[in-house]
Amino acid sequence: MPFSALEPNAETGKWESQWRDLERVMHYLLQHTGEGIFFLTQDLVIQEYYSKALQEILGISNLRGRNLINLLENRIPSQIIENTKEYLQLMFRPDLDEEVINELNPLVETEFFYEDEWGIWTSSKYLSFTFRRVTQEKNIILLLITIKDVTEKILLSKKIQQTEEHTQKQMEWLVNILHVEPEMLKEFFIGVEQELANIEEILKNAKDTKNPRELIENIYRSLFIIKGNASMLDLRFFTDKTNQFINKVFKLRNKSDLNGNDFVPIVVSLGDMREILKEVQTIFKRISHFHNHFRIKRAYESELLVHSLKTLIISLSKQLGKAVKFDYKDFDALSIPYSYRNMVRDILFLLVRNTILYGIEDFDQRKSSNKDPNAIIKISSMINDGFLGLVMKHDGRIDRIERMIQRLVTYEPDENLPESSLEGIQVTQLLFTPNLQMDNERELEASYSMDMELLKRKLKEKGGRLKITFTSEDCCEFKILLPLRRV
Amino acid sequence: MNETDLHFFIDSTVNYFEEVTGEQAITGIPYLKGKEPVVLDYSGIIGISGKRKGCVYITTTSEMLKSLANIILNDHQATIETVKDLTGEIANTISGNVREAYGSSFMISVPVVVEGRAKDIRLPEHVQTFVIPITWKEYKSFLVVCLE
Repeated sequence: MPFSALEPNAETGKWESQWRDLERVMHYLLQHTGEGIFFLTQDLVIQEYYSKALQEILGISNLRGRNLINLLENRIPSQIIENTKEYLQLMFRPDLDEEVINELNPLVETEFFYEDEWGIWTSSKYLSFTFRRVTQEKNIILLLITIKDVTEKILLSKKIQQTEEHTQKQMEWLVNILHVEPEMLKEFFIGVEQELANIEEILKNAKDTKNPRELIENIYRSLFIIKGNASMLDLRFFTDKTNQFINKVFKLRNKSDLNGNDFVPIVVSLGDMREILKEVQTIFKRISHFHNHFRIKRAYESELLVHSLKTLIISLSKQLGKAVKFDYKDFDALSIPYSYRNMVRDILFLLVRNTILYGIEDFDQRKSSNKDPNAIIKISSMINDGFLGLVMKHDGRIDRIERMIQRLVTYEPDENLPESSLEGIQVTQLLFTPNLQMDNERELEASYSMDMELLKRKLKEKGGRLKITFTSEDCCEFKILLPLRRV
Repeated sequence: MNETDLHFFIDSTVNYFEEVTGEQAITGIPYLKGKEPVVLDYSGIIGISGKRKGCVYITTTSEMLKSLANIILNDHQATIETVKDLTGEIANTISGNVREAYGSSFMISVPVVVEGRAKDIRLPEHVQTFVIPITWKEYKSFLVVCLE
């Protein structure tokens, strides 16, 4: 029933029962309303009667006689408090129109922060304040203030907004990962996780290091592994992000007098990479139940290895303006023991990638030097005498090796190693020597040297062997032997 | 959290040591905080809210604080209260700088000083936390920054 003007009891002519009724109604209202309701005087003091919900919403008891501004302090930003003070002064000015002043309400949807036992803000609510003038004989005597907890509404709208902002990025990522088989993606995630954890450990344990350059080299190595694996799966956003990270690390490599501040970009990039990995893994989990319905067989899983190498060759050669034929008819992925699968994948990927990057000439160069413009990369596998053998051959130029030999002779002359005496085995040693890179062609050389060192390390761990046969013009063959019994 | 933010917190802390003691503090290599606690004898914590939320704290050893008291206050026998006050002062300096730099749309709490290594400082879980080792003289301390 809407409130109407009070009149004395018609029979008795007395007011008592109406006052009692009104008092009761008022009590029920203040007890049971879900909103914070209170009256405020011109000196901004909260009056005696206020709703029970007010205490719950503000998280403060005994509000009577408290100054509203004091209550807001330390719970909302000071800028909003200043605006509130000004606004309340205007609300008590009778010459100003209430509706117009209400447009200035600074507490429409304000985040209100709550402190924990240490005085640190650990939770917040969004509160919406409304202000109405209470007048008596045209004088503004009080303000009636109601506070609503609009947290759910605000959080929902924020979530929708965030989702919209993320959707485009996530769609992009989703499209980027959909072409990759779930098993390979899972392995990729594990690999990235390992390398990021490795970088984290490097930074965490760096406190006593006397050689920050060594840290940088190790971080560089991990990033190259991530970049390599991302390129193999054609995960462009990951490759790009890793490239950005690598560039930051590279800047440090050239800097003298490194200090902790120099590593700030590194740790921030690491944090970003972690975030991206987490988000992509979340997307992957969401779609993985679809994939589970189509669980793959081992034969198909093995085919994926060839498939991913094919993808790498196509995308990289297209990117570099080269033409490459991929011959894998003698490669039997099924003959590779499960425990070697990842390693074989990494090795082949590394060799194929470096071959396209540094060995194979571009289409026109090959044509002008009377070679078949379509280069060939051939892989084969065999099991013999307790060894798994892998061979990768290509018919690109070998001038990278020649350049390395030349550089070594020019920049680091070694009396015991004249140029003419460099034979196959020594050239191979040069290939496996890290940090031969010079200022120019930095990434190319750094990458090659680092990859080769990585390959050497991996083979050593498994007791494997590598043989490289090459001529300067026609062909280069990498032969890798991995012991089967040691697996 | 971007590089500028992190540099800002580091500079605020490092400058404090240089300004009050005349001796430069050295920034160590920063890292991401894992699950293990980063808490030394005394920690001064400031909460940040408003447009961006988070928490920043400096945690240090009583030896360092006593040495600091010796230099700043000429107090050779600093009490627990003195070292606690000093922890608060370092945090307060960071807090003042943050307030100045981030403006009034941010809320910066009064520093809270926590004594003891017993437990980790509670930080928002969904935000990356960066740990920056800081060495002043031979003493180690950590600046921990967790900001959206």
